[in-house]
Amino acid sequence: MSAKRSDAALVKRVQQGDKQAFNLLVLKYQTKIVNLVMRYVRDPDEANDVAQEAFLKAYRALPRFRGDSAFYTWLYRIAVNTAKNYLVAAKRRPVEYDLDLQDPEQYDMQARLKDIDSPESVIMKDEVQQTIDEAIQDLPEDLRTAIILRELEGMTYEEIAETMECPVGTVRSRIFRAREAISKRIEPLLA
Amino acid sequence: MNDKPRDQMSAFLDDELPDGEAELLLRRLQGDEELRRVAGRYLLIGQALRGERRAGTDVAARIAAALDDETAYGAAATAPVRSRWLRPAAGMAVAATVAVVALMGLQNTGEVAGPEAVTAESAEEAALPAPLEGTAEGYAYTVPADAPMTARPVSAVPARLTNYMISHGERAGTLMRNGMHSRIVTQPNGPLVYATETSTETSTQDSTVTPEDGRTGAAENAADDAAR
Repeated sequence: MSAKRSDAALVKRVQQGDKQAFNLLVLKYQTKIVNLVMRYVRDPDEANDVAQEAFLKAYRALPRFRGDSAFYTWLYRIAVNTAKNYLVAAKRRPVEYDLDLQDPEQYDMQARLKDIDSPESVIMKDEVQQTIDEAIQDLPEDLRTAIILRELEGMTYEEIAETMECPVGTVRSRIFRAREAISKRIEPLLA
Repeated sequence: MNDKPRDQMSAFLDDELPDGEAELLLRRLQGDEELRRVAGRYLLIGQALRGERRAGTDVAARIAAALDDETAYGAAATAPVRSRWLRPAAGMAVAATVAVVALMGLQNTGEVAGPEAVTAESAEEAALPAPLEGTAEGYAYTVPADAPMTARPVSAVPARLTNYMISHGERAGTLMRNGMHSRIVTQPNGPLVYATETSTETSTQDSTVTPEDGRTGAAENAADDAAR
């Protein structure tokens, strides 16, 4: 399955009336969208409100989404416009305008560098984050390498298989087992 | 829950699940709350690893609640599309039905219903009141030029067309005995009336096609009306 096809499959399900598929898209992109909106609206509560509005706008517009662009690119533009409109309505200027926010890829890179290294991100680490970090460290080496190559480096299973010199099926199994191990650790915290 | 759906969900989130399996998985996801929770945790792990996560960022629950008030597209979005397709088909079916009924009535009752029975543009027109006979003026000429289309009698025939039909009926008489148009007669300064004899060789095409461009009589009437 090529990149973005899982999004396309979810979008198709939503267009067929499956609201749960849209909820999965929200889970997948909510942190990115809230982080994006935070570039415009500094207040976290306001950012959550604007992000929610952006997602609902996207849901309502989804029947007209033809898939010419990737879903995330489309959602990204909706979020930027929603945030700008919010500021216009509130008669405020964006917090930052030095970033090229029209380019989702560039924004993601800048946001990642900023969020990982800033003291703010360290302070924001909560119990869930700490538990996940600890669970990663406790994983066997092969599972940890597989999930890091996937989640941090964005490698495909085939690329990971070449790197780790193992079959693609083994990669899939290792990533699944890594997720399961971490998932069991955080499950009580999310209940 | 067994491991297979979880394993599939893990691969799906990585864009590594074959399309066929993905479709089945998403169908299952719709009714499987536990699987949705699993998917949420898997996504959370990735976001935490990438440093995307912020404490207090959880709009998903609020959006899920808000979605309860939103329309699901499967039912809502397809209905207008279906009606758009059905509307012309239904119109054609009604028109065809009216035409068939008119023809049957023509054959069974021995009455010539006039050109409107064969052209039968629509059920709306068929439902209009019948023209009054014996009025001082032919009803084809009593309709104000600026009257809306729906207010005009269905069978209003332009004088040019009437003359043509009469002429055609006279000349075609040697070729086609008992042609319907040859039964149309006019009364001096009076309305158009139709002969009561049964037309045994009534042809839909004959009765509706105009000489100039082959358009149907109804279409010609409409074009004429529009041009006036």
